[in-house]
Amino acid sequence: MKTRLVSVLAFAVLLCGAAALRAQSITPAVQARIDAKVKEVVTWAADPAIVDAVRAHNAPLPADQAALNQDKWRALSVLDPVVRGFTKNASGQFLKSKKDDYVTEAFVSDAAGFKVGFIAKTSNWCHKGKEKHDVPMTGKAWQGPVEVDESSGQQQLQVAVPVLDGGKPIGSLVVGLSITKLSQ
Amino acid sequence: MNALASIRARLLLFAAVSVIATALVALGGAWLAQWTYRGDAALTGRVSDGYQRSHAALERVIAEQTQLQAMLRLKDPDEIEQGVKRYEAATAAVRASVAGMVALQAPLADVATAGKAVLDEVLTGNNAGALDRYVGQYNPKVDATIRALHGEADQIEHTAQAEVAARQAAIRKLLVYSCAGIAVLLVAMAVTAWRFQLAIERPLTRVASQLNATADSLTALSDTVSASSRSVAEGASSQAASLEETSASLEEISGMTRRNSEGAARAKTLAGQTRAAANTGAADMQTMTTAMDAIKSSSGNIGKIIKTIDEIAFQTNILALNAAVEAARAGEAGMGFAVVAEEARALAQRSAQAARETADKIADSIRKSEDGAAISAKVASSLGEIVTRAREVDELVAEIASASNEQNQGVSQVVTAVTQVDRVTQANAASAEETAAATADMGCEFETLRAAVSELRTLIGGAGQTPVASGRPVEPAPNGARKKAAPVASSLPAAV
Repeated sequence: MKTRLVSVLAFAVLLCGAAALRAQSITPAVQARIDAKVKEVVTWAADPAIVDAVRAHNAPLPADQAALNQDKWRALSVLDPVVRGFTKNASGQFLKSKKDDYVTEAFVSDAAGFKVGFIAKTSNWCHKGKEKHDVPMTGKAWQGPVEVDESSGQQQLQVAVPVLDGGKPIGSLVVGLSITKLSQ
Repeated sequence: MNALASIRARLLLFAAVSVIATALVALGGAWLAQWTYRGDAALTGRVSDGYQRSHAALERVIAEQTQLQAMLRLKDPDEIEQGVKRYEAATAAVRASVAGMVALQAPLADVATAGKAVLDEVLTGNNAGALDRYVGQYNPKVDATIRALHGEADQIEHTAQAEVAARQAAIRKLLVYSCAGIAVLLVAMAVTAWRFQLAIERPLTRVASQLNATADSLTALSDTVSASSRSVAEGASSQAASLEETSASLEEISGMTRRNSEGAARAKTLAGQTRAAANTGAADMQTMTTAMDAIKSSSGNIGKIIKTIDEIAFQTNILALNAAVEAARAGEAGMGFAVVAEEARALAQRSAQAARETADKIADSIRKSEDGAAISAKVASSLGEIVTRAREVDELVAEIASASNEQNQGVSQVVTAVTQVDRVTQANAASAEETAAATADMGCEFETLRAAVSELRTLIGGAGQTPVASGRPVEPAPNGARKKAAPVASSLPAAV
């Protein structure tokens, strides 16, 4: 058991080291692919399924969502009906249809940073105050640093684009891209 | 007979007891083998089942671990939902596979608790925390469970070894009892066989002695019969030879008789021809007699004519004389006439002379014709006698021919009868020879019987106990028998 534990820890350390090494060196070719993906994500953000959902979500929240805060959100199971509601609504289904080996995660937030729809449950209920939401709400795209998903060991980074309604940002769309896959 | 029946009954009883004892021993062995086989099979089955359950539980624990590990990477709620179902199914399979394994319940409860903690982390989206719990809590519990499973397998092995040891001890005890039982059975059978051997030896020895004596007597009688048969065969052979000679003589007699018959037939034919010739001669003789009478009659007529001619010659002579007288008277003129008259007279004289001679000769002829007629009559009479005798000869010859035929038939019948007698005699000779050969074979059979008796003696007690005669052991007996059989042998040829 101890041997297995040691081997797993060594593997994790190795992955973290490799991620740190790779994070500092996104090659121009990979960056070009990231840029292409961002352009693709922009088209997703302009899809009526996303825009309509965000527009509708910017209205007053339903009672179950209005009562949520970060602690309650974290305590919710991914199988909780409230959480499953975000994956089964139109925006969630749209995002799931875009999921592939390059797209590791995707979630769309309304203007207040609350979740409108996602592929998988996010860590935070509200992303307001974070760059991945605040920058797109200024109408710009955002690209985060390369991170390592500890559960999967894959390198990934997040990009965010605004959800525009008549040229005005009404929400943000954050997409996780697999650097491991984009580097192949 | 009672002794033999008793021997048969005892043999059957002994064989039945032996068969039953052997069957009991075989059944016991078979039962022991079956019991051992079933026990081993049951033990092997339990051990195998235990190992299989242990291995199955191990596989399912590993499967549950693998399933939970796979869930660590899941973020899609749909996949997590499916993963939870698979994990719960794997957990249920683990619980089912360790049902009845008391030692595994506590480790498995710990595994379930740790697994639930990992799952809760996954369900809250904290995959990193889930990985920590998986590595730090869940895996050690799984390792403890695996060690408990190994301990369960070791316990199964220890239990099986203890059962094997107990079974081997029981088998050893059973084998000792079985060997003792078989030994007692063998001793009992040996004692029974020994007593049985003693019980059957005496009557068999007595029977063997009787058989030997009977074989000797039969051998002597066989010699006698053989000698008699040889004598009969020889007599029949000589009789057959004599009959063949007799038959040959009869064949010759038959031939002669046949020739006599044929001669008689030819004599009959010739006698008939003779009688016919005699009849013809008699008829010719009658004709000749008639002809002789006609000649005689004609001779008489000729005599008359001759007498007439003689009278004419006499008259002519007178006339010539008268003419000569006249011529003389006429003188010269009548000279020539006188000469003619003379000549006429001379002719008349010669005619008369010739007529006389002719008459004489005719008379002689008539006389001789009469003689001839008389002789003819005699000849005719003789011929008639000959015809009569020829007829009698013919009848006698016919009788002789008939008798010869009958004699020929009789001889043929005699030949046939003699041939049959010869055939019967030859058959008798062959039968006698076959009897002699059969008697010789019988002697060989007696030798075989004697050898069988000797073998019987050897079987029942060894050849040394009673001396067994070999070859011709009882020579005096055949002599005695031969003395009795001698008159028969000598009388046979006489009878033949």
